Amino acid sequence: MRRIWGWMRVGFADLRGDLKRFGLLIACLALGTSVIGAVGSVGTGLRLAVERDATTLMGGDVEASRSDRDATPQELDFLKSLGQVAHVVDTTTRGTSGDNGALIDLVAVDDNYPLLGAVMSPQLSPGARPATLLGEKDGVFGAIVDPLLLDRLGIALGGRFRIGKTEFEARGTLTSLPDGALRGFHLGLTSVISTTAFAGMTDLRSPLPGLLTLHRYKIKLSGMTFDEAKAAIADHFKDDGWKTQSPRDAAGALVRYYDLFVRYLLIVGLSSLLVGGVGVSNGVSAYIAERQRSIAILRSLGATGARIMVHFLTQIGVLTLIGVALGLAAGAAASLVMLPLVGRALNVNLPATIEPVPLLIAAAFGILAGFAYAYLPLTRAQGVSPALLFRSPGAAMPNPHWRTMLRWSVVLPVLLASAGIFGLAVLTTSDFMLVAYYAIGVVVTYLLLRGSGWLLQFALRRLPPAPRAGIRNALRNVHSPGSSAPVVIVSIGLGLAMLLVIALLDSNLHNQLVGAVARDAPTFVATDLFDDEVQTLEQLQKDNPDFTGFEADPMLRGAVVGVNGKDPSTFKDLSEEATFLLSSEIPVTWRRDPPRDGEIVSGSWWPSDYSGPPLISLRAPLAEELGLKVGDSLQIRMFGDVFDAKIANLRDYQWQRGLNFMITFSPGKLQGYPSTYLGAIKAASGHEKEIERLLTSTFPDIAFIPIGEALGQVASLLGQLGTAVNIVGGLAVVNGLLVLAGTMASGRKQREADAVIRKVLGETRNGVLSIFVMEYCLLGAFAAVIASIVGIAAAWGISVSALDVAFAADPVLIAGVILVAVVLTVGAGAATTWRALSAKPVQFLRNN
Amino acid sequence: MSAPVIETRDANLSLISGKLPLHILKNINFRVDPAEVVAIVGPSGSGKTSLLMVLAGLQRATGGKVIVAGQDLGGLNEDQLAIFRRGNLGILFQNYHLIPSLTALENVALALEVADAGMSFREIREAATAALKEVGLGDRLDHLPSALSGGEQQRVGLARAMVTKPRLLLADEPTGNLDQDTGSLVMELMFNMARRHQTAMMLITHDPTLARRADRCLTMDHGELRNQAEVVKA
Repeated sequence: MRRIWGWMRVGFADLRGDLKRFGLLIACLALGTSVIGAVGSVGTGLRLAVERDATTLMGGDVEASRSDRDATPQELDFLKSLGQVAHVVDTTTRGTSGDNGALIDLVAVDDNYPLLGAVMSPQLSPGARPATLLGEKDGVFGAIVDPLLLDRLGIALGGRFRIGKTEFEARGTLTSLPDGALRGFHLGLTSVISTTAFAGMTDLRSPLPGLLTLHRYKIKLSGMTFDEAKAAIADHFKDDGWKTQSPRDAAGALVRYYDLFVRYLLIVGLSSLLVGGVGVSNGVSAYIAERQRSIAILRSLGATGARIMVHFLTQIGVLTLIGVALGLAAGAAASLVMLPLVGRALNVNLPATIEPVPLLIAAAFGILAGFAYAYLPLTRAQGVSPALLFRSPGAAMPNPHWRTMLRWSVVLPVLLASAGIFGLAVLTTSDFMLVAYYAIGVVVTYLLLRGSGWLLQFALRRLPPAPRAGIRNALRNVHSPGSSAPVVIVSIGLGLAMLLVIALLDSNLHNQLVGAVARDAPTFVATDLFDDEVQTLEQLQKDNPDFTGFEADPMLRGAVVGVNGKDPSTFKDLSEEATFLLSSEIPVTWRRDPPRDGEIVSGSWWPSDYSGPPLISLRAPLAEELGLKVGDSLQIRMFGDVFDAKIANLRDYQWQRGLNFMITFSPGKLQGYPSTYLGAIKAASGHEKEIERLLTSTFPDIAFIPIGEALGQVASLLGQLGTAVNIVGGLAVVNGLLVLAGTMASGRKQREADAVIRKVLGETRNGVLSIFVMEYCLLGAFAAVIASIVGIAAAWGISVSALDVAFAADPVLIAGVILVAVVLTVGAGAATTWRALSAKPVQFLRNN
Repeated sequence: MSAPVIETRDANLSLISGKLPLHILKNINFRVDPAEVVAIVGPSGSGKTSLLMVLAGLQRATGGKVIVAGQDLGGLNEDQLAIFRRGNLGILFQNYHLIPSLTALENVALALEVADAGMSFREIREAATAALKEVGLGDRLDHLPSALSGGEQQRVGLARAMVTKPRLLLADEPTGNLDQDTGSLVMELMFNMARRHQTAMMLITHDPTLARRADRCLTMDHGELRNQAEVVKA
């Protein structure tokens, strides 16, 4: 042991004065570690804060809610016996002022709201309840509204607007609700009104299927635990309609949502470290190549391979620790800055604190990655022979024999470190499949880039020589032994592939929500239309050329009470969509002919004159999740009747393209029940406002939901998430650039030597420069093409399998990325070549 | 009498070292005729290599005139100097200075490619192969420098320097890193090739035997040319 310490001491001493040359290696590790540390710290801080403040965030110790009605006076009396009660109603509706309209996320609150925390508004004095602004004055109720709503409605503070037939006065602007973070995503701009005003709005209609009104009763318990209260509520109400949740339950959904997002960010952050690892590998390779002579001298003095390994492993260990320590410091500093910012954005109290566990995990990632990437180049140091001292200087490091690379002593440590990184990633994301797919993607990308680099060299070697000497020399630089081409291709390619995946996913999601895909979506939809309203709308369409489309589907409500005879409650861990299908009354329709959009993936549509036993068309992904196929049946309850409906076909469709129902029935059975209609209206592009005015003036009490606005709101939310992904992913690209710069810098000495010899032989500066530029253009373009193929394939896979969005590869985006790659490669090459061009032959020739 | 290949008139080279000027070459005057072989001898630091650098256009004289192959080097910019070297000079280094990533053949062909003499790739390869055969390395064409001995590397360097058939070969201690036998072999090849191609040669050496094979021997000391004696052949 003492001997090994001695070896390590020598290795450490040998590093003195050489630290500067490792700047890029340290930066690559530091950047990767800092990204993982910062993302992990912010994610952990957010989770802990939500869990800690769950009671305040939910606004009570327990919440009892139902979707169909208010509590009866007797039920309310019972709830009040448990503690102090605040009543809140959530719904989505439409507000108007003159010709202007906007979708509203309506929050009706009683005088007790909030039980915990405070509603923040510049017009509310500190500690005051919102009820002070919401009461009836001169026959008009007050509202505290999102400031954006004032702009949308074209009114100022104090101005008036309508919801249905009820008029409101905007008496305050809303900064935040104390339970805003746990309310999750809501369509529309938030407006707070009183429950008294809400009770008087008898003309409110449910605007969209699934956008249900929720009546919540938040209770601050007196002398009772949550479990006792939950049991008491269940015992007293004996009614499926009531649901109770604890602050932990309410926070759980939010925590799961944030956790999911942080996991994906961690994976993106891990890319930064893995891309940076290539820089470590290149840096160590270049260092070992430069130190060949010193290694040979040590070997000639009798140093064993083990001693050489300990010597350099000590050095790389010290450098790794420096990189990781810098990364942790940067990660901790970034999380200190970001936590309050994220807290403000999400309406959660997030103090600036340092979370040690995620930083320790980041450190472990950094150390493992540093070792995994440095070990292979270090094993080459062991292979340096003292015979080298008797050969010429400046020779490139010979490539080891492939058998040497397959030795257990070479392979096992790298496999263990890689397994460590994999295990740590699984541990932190709790998602084995995600990490497994990611690992496969990384390995395949690396092998493709590395393999294509070799193939390029192989092909160039076999090409007939180019007629022009300059091109010939540039190509020779790419394929000659010791060329950095394969490493440059990997360095640029990994970062670019990452950039492309992020950019393509971003553009496809955007396209899906507000772009070409969403263009087919109806402009407005309205539910619960009666026959006469449908006829009026049909007439409006005939009379108005800008009213380009109107479709009305019968809409009924039914509940799935059995799946092939099985109780739906036996299905566990379902997606949100499947949960909605099985746990509540859902809107259904019937049709003679199949809808225009979407496709039948299994079975066939019924004849248009079919009138036999009920058949259904079920959304394909739901059928897959529930293990259903054509011929199986669902048991449906409708208007008190329960009947079997056989699955005739499975359909797949994208919800943005129009109105679609999870279950569509055959004609016959459902025609016997009373139904309203779900209407989809299409306005000519640029005439949406005119059609909206026409609709609201003709039907003042119907809420027409502007689909574009709703999709825009979802796109804006995804845009915010996308910004976080872009920042973290962008850092992976920055690390790729550092690697590229490092690779170029490590080859600089050789390029300087080559440039001097060329100049001595009579090559002009421009001649030398043009050879380098041609070489870098070729490398940059080649790496970009391979990275584009990999990036497009990965983005396609994620789009189709994970996000379920239509995929399109924007040629302008891809051409832009290729151009950027070429410019960056030539730029990085030029930066190092400039020194080579400026190198004074005299100095070089004298010193070498 | 034909025009000299080298003619220097009061050539000076001074560098600023700290705040004081350092005179590397002082009023150098000499000429070298076509096909003449001139050796430069002198102690280390006497300015021999600096003189060679100035003659190769790799360093500029700070005073006087340096005319090589009829061209006043003082009036040329960097690129013009490079183009001048292509057509007129071959240089042989003590440390060979081959490009390690190129084979022996490619290293030699590089000189012809840079010279851009309108030769096809095939012609270039044939000429480079012939040059390597001339120095006895016809069987080492595809070897990288790292696979060659010092003597072999210097022979590749000689083939590269002579493949363009220059008017002047400048050699800086070409046998300094070689053992006596190998050094003799390289010298023999160098003298033979220079004679065959009517190339004037200027070589720096510490080897008195080698210096004696030259037509003339210049002695340098402290940046000055002390003696320009004709070598008396045995």
